[in-house]
Amino acid sequence: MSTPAAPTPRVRRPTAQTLGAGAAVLAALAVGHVVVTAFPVDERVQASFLRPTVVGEPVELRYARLTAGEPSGSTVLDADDGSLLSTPGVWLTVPVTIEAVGQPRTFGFAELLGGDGRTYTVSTGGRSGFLPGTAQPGVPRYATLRVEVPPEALAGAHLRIGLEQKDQRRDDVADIDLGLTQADADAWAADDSPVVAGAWSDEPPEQP
Amino acid sequence: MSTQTAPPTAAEPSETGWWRRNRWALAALPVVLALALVAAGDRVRTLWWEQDLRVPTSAEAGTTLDFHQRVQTGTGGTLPIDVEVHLDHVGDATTLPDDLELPAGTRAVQVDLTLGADPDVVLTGCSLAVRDAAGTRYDYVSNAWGALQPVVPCVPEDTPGPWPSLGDLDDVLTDPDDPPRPATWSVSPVVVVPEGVDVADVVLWWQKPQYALLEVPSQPS
Amino acid sequence: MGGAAEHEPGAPTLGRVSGPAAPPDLRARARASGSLVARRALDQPLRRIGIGGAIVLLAVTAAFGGLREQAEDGPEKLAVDVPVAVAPFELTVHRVVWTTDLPGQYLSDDGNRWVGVVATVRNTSDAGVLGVTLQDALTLADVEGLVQEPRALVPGVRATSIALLEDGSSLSPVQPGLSYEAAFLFEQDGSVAPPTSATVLLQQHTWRSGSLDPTETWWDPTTTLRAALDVREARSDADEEAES
Repeated sequence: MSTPAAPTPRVRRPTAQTLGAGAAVLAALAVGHVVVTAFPVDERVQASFLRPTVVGEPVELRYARLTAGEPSGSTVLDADDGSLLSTPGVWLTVPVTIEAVGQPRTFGFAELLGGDGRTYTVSTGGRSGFLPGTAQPGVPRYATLRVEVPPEALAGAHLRIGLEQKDQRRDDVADIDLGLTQADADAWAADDSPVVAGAWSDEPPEQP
Repeated sequence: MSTQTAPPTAAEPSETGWWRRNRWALAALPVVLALALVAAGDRVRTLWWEQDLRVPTSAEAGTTLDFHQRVQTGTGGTLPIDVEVHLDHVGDATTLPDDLELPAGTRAVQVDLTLGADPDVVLTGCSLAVRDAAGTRYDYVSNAWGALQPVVPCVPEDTPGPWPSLGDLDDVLTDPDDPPRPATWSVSPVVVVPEGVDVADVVLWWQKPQYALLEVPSQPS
Repeated sequence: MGGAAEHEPGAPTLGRVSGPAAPPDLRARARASGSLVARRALDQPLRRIGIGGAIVLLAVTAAFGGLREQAEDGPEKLAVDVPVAVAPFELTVHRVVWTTDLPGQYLSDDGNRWVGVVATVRNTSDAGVLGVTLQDALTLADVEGLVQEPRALVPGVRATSIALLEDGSSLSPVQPGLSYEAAFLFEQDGSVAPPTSATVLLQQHTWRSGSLDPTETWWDPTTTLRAALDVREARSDADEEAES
């Protein structure tokens, strides 16, 4: 828009107004861009509501009350279906108690945030898995989560459990500090007596 | 844009106001804004509204409920649900389903329903639950706690009637010699609820958000 | 914007061949509006607008990497027992064998056989990856009678299952930082002779969000390494142990 200086100001006036409007539009776009990019608005709006807790402490979620039990580990996992699973790392198992709120709930999401900064996937099937089924309100559901990790991921690991498998945005997610140390990792990496992670049940597991 | 913002010079005859020149755009503005909101709100329907029971059809306790809905099928069509439901009785199950082992702290509630529908109506996609006074829902689960109850809680197990069409597979899957569903029938599904829960109503649904709400008569004698 | 058009010496001749593209009344209105840009733009002949448009288009694609040098010159040759990076994995292909019997794995027909690619799998990303992505990462080609059909998005035939050598379980999810010894198993029709050679294809994935779904995941399996490898009959576990 390089208009040379016009001789008569009366003819110039519309161009100045046009330029002003153009500048205002550009300024508005720039301000909008700054607002959207300078502040992590999207991330903050979509972030899960993390509910922190520790082993043995129940955590109240929108859809359930969840309690993680004492984790255990070994290099061999007994799936309680006749199969023993080995691992190049360490098996970690965490007993979880689910008390659904309001209506039956099917938990589909879990992942382990390792102390090494990596994320360990826990699917609803497969080697690293958490399959608690549908928990009815008022009937506590007992299930055991299992995940294989390198020993260095154990110290400081956090377990996250949520409802929707694919989408945890804007919803409650339990964030459980498992309280594991390097000593636990070393002991489990040297242990080859199987840890048991069986199917879910509505009967409380027998305490050893 | 440029023709509008370039104002008329003294040479132009008619001086029209900004509001008048942009009257059509101004008239369209509220409509466009409403359309933008509707377009952006589409997910409210699919991700929230249709994810729970929200539109009840209810009848007074003891009366027969007429429930009508057109449900979407997986193949893009719709199927009519036209059914009459009467809640006969809700109470502790007199005989438990085979092999049912109640978890600690629970009891078995039997829901006696009498239903009526045209034998051609597809009713096989139904779910059933009981709710307490606070609205907490306890679902009927066909395969749980060791027992195997009928998969569909609201049709006769032996004569469930037609299934949703699967196109060319229908000839293979359905046997024309299957006996038709009777005009009226009774079912008695058993629902496991925590001890101390009083059933306030029974709900029956084919596709959320619509559902049939059957209130349990208070203090059954 | 080629504003010097009317001063060019050749302009009158050109103008006769292709005059200004815009209709005269639009040009008159542009002149009346006093906007120099509009008047100059509408005075341009059609051909000039076409060339200008092409240049703008090229510039826009260039801004998104359209003129960048092509990085890949087709797949490289895969060598046995050499670890190679095919994001998000590091794969080491050891051997290709066939067998009729594997504990814990079930053929769709008793007369069929397994063709297995034995490999070391390591997830080099910072998050676990599901087995479906691993199935896209190593595929098989040039073997007759494979039961699985080739799929549209991945070259070659995907494995029916990926079994860990240690315990026979299916390898999913593949956790980062662990080295798994696994066999990619492809079921072959028993009426076809066992293969003597098979082409192993390794595909690299790209971490990006989908075009319809903003969730980021591994996409676009692209073959970066391939080789025709000899296939022999598998020996029993005792033989394998004696060898190693």
